[in-house]
Amino acid sequence: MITRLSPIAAYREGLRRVTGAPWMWLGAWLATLLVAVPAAMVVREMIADHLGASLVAERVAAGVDVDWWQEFRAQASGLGATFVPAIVGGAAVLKNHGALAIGNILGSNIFNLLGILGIVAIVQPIGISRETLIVDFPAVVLMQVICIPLLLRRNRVGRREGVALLGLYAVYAAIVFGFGR
Amino acid sequence: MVKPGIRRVLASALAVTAWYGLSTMPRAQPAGAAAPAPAAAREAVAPATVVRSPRNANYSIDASLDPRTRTISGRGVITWRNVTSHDASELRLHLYWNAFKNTRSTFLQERLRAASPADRRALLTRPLDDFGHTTISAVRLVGAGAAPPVDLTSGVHAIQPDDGNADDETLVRVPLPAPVGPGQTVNVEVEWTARVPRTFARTGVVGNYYFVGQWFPKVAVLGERGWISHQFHASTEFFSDFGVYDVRLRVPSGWVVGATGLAQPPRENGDGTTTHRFLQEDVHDFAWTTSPDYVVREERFEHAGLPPVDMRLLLQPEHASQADRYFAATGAALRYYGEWFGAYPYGHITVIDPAWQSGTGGMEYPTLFTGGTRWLSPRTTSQPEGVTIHEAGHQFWYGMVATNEFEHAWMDEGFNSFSTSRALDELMPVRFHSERFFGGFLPWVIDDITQPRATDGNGWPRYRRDAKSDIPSTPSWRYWPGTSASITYSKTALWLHTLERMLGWQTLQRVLSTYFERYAFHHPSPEQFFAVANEVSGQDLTWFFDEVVGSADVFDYGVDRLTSARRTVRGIVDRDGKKVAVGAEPLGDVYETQVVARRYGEAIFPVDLLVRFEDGSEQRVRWDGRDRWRLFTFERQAQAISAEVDPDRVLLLDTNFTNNSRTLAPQGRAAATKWSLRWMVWLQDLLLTYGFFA
Repeated sequence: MITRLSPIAAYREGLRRVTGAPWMWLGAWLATLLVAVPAAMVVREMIADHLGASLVAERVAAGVDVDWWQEFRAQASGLGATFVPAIVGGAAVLKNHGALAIGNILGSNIFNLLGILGIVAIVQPIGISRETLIVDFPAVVLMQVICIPLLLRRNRVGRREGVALLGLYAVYAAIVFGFGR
Repeated sequence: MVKPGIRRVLASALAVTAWYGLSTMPRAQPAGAAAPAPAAAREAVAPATVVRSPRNANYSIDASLDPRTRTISGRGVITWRNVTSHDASELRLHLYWNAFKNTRSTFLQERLRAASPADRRALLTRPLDDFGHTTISAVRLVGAGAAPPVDLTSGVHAIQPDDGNADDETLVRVPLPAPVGPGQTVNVEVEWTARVPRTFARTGVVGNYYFVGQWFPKVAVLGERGWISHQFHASTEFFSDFGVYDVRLRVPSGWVVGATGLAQPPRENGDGTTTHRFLQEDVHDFAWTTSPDYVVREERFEHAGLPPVDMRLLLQPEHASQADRYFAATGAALRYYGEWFGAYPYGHITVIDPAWQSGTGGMEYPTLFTGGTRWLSPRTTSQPEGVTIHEAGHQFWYGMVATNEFEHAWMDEGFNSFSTSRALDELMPVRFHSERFFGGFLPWVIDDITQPRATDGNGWPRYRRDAKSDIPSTPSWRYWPGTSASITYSKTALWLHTLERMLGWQTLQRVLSTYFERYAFHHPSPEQFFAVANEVSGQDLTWFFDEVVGSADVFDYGVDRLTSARRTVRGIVDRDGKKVAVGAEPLGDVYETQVVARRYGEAIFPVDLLVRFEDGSEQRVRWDGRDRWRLFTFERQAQAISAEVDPDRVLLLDTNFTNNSRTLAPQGRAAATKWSLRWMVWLQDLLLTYGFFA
């Protein structure tokens, strides 16, 4: 039997199913990562080939070089052709890329927290679970406290900091899934 | 017999011609027996104090708009003087709106040919109600005094000198009963009706908003080598002679009207319509607009050393808050173009803010132009400033210098693009890139990305894409329609900016102001500009113009190799009269740096090569850029760290800046890793989003 749902009801139903199945989220995340990583490697080679040993690469590595973007856009094809629109297009807005430097990561989180949560809550009020209160909220506060000295110490995120951040994420993931069981 | 109404039109036309034009006209016997202006008509028109142009194509027009049927009924007298040294046995009239009559016109055929599949589909499925046309119902040669007019209507027929497309009716020939000799004048009365199209190209109607350009039968330009008359093409605009315009427009009462020229007091007709009259001397076209919805603002431009200009702004109500931006941008054009090239002489200008989705934005006409903006337009972006400066700037290059846009479109659009980006930099030194979403409704400013004049302002990305598409010296109407703007606007702006960097702004400014002063109101040719550039700069720049205007060759210089190591020798050397084998032996405390610079493109330009060394020193050498490659060798105590050709970016036409440099500490892979990871996050977000909704 087919049940007809209104769009809002379908969205609510989807949310209910998704929030009730964290493993589905993880599966989707991993599946998309498996697609994204090799594609990104192709794009990386395209960018590296184009930049070569030029001085332009220094500017591109350090920040934003619009002239180079335009040049790459004009010469790229296939996946490479999506690079510039992705960086300065809709993704820039959704990720709050007013500043395309490191600040956008924090900006993106703020958008996710306030924007996405707000939109979802308008559609369907969200209950706060015990897991969220005990694990997620303290984790968010703790991460901010850890990140501040980590990021300010050398005004850059180097390899060591990167490893540390990934390690923290692994700990957090382990706690979440351990708690879920 | 001439109807009384026609007599009034004729009398008015001749009055205009008499007052404004006779002072410059040769006193030859008029071939068409032009009638003297009746005294009564003279009183209506104030005499001009300065005659700036030849005034050989003068118009007196009565036109009436019926919004219910979207038609314009017009009647006018063209007073045309032959300014060439040979007889004219015919007149040629442009009927531009016939480009929108059906899809077989040359204009729409060219549009279709160059369109993307989606655009092509959209064009081919436009509602039938969108199409428009101009139909001439009568043409008469009007004689002097009581002499009866000579009906020429039966001889009028469409011609297609460019492509032989028999379906194209944008140009008609009007055979004359007797030739018009050099310096002689004819008066030709024309009656026509036109259906206003839903905009195909910058003229038309949407709702109650009318923007009416290229709307009346307009006489073509007769040159020494015959008629310079072309059909209406997708890639080019217009060309016509200067004259005096006296135009009376009958529209519904209560509707606001803006037009070329100075408005005279309107007259209520008592039938729900009002007649608005506009007069203008020394212009080569006339456009107008009307709508009941306009919000009118007025302001005066004043700047030391320049004549004041009354600015009249007709705004869409939803854009009323942007009036100051329109005025500031128009004022910037009047100021900077005035200071750099020559003063705007007309004393008034009308700025039109076009209706949403009217398709009429960004178009220039004498003393009037359309800008364009959005309801949401952040002040750190250049909308409406960019388009406003550009169209106001056309008053100088298109309006006054008035080059042949059919054949040398780059002389107007390119010169103006260069000037626009320069003036915009003065008005808005910093402006940011923005993206628009939801059909352009929602803007998002990305304040990491500024819009530099040299590249964005000159349209560098567009040029790069189409650099080889056409040779600029090809008649512009023959450019491939899909890429014509890249050559006309961007390539010209880039080579003018390159000239600025070569010669210095002061010299280029003197070149442009001399050209403007010498040829305003006289339709100069490319050769006349080149001659001025050579004369004022004191250099023979022919080689440069041959490259940038006379060819489609691209410029691309680069550094192919950079090595820098201690000087060593390995092998057999002569030492103390003996042959000695040595293995990588140092030859003093010297680094040998070798740079191979290459010319990848066909075009040639002298460039500098800059080599930087690790001790902070630099060495700069000049390369004439002629050979395909050249080896440069430097011997120093320090190792080189980088080499760069054209380090100051003088040559803005270089199609590949990335290959201009090379370093011994390349960062390409680090940069690629950083940005590809960012792209990966975007891709994963995209996939997750699709996955969520799937």
